[in-house]
Amino acid sequence: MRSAETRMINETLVAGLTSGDNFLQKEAIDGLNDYLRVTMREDGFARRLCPPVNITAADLDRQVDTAKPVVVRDKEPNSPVAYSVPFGTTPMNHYIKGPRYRIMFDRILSRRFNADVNTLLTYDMDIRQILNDYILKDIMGEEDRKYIGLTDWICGAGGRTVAAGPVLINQTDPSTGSSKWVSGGTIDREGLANMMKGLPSSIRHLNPSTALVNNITVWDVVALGREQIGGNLAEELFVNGFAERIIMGIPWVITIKTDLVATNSIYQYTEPKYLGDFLILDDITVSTKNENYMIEFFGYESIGATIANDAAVCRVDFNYGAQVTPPDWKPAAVWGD
Amino acid sequence: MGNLVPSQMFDHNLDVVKGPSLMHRLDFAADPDYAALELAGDTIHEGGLMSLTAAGKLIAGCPSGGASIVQPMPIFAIQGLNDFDANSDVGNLSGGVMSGVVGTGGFEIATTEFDSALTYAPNELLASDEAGTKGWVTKAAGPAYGAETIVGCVSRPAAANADGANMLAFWTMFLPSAVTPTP
Repeated sequence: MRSAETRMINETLVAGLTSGDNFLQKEAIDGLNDYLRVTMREDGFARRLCPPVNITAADLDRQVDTAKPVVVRDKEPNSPVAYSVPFGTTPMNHYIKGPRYRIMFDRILSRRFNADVNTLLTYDMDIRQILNDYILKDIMGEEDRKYIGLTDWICGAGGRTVAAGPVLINQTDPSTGSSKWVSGGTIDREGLANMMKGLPSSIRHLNPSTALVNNITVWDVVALGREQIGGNLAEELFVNGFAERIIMGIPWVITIKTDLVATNSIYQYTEPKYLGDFLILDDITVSTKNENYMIEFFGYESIGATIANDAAVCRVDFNYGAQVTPPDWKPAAVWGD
Repeated sequence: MGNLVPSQMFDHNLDVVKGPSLMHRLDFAADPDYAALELAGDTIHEGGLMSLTAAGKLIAGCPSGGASIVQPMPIFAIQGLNDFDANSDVGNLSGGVMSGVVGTGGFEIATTEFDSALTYAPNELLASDEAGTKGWVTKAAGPAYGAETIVGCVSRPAAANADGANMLAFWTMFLPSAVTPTP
């Protein structure tokens, strides 16, 4: 039997969604919206790697050749090196010019759910939770899928063109002076320390600020013993398991999305101000419509996100084949060879 | 890839002149087949004719089935391949998916993507311009259920719209080409 509370919640929600009273309808929709926003920020790992910023139409930059929304941002200019000269020498000129980049937007939709209102009344569980879960899973999964896809692309997974080559593992990207995707080593103290060298090895010298790992791989850290990570931590991990914590100075974000973050792989991202953007043009909204006894609703959002710095991310695949030596972040092989 | 150069706003257009309400119309979204498009030197403009490959990706044009019972469904692009919501500059998260209205839906559409060298009259059947510019519609060379897939029936002769773009209006339809029995 369903509880009286659950019955009341379901009936109230359906009454609100199907009401002609704008206030009741808004209240029901606000209930969904409020829940969605909070859970979304907690559960979508992309938003934890690069915290989102809400923007309005006033923040958009108009383009003459398209009406599609765009934000244009400046990128840090390059500066030629200083040099030594004898007295009486004048400086060389350098014309000031800074690069820019565009942030483009598209929309993420959930499925449009519909039902006869009377069938919604027959569920034993809290129907709001069911509906929220569906919408959340769809939108969150798509955000994260695209974010990890872009990360892999930057790390060397190749692009969407015929010219795109195979995955560029253990090869140096000439534009950053280091590899962004290495394989080898094991998850031990030495391997994890070597992982931390990835981003600083590039010519931009960035430091990692967040690691992303799945909830399978992280147990290899729990398995590290007293001789690897010290007695107190080894005992604490053994007793309590791995909660999200700071390891080697950076927080580890743990995801259950093993289809996106492969087991034995760890991603590292630099600080958001060096990483890129996560702009929200339309925050998650649930659009609801009822017609007689049928209701339908769907969630949508419009975001524009970038990883605008190609030295801001890197990936390590541990336990790659039989190789146990920690990989080199500056391998001799170069992209395009 | 790199930085995109989109089409100018009024050069390539799709107007859904008549049809179901916007929020319930029959549209379809899928990834473009970038590799096939690049290999063939094709592109897709707004209003252009597309179809799905066996892998479920969008290409320009709507080839006829021939000896196969596989008959590509005509789909008319809502965005161009390089529009900023369908593709993006390097480093952006957005894009990678295109959408279009499906040719079997009850639409009257007007498009800039047709062979404008020809004159069109109402009730003339249209097919994909496979021998010319992929993505354009042109007059059908033969009757329905013949050698070509019929993708539309002219509703109004080509004329300049309010923005000066020459557009051809037609009702979308899908009359598959004849299937040659396999011996």
